Amino acid sequence: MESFEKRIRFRMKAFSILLVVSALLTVSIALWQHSVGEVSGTDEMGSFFKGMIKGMQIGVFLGIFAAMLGFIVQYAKALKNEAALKKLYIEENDERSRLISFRSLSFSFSLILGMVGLAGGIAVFFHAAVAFTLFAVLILMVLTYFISWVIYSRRL
Amino acid sequence: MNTRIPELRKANKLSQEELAQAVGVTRQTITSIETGKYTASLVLAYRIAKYFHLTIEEVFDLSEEAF
Repeated sequence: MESFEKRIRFRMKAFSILLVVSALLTVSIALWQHSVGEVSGTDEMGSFFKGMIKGMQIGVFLGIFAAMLGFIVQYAKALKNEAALKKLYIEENDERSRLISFRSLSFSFSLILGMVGLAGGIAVFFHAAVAFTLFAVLILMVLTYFISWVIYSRRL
Repeated sequence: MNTRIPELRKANKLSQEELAQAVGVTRQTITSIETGKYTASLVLAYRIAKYFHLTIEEVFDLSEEAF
């Protein structure tokens, strides 16, 4: 339990740094967008999509911000209370939960791989840039899978 | 996989939550093991058996498992 407590303290520090970085990035992007006006490559887009692209960037950073804050609060509570710390330890190390996560990730990865491949195949008929982007993502995903497979096969 | 966990819990007047806490898993894991939805790992099977002062074979029945 002592090593878990140390791990939680380390995570709290790391998430606090991430929280500050994401807050700075959110403010910087908002200011930059305000000064630049429009995001490049959106000239032909309607105002709805232009707004959506701007909103997505801010939304991603705000999402990271909220998630980090949630984790920090949860860890702070756990560090103050021994029972809460044990509960958190069990939740994180429960073997059934780990198996559920592993199977969900494995299934999601296969599904996303198929969907990106299918979308790339369809995009060839409509937009070359979109198709190339999707195929690049597909190659990167497959490459990541093989690299991680090699790493884990050496470890286990 | 058949298990004697519900019977042993009743004999020891233990709830699923209490057993789960004692062996370091969630209550849902104990429920899944008892209903046969989930097969415990060797480490967890050992911990459960040790908790009841029994051997793994005395708690879990692997005879119906397909190899």
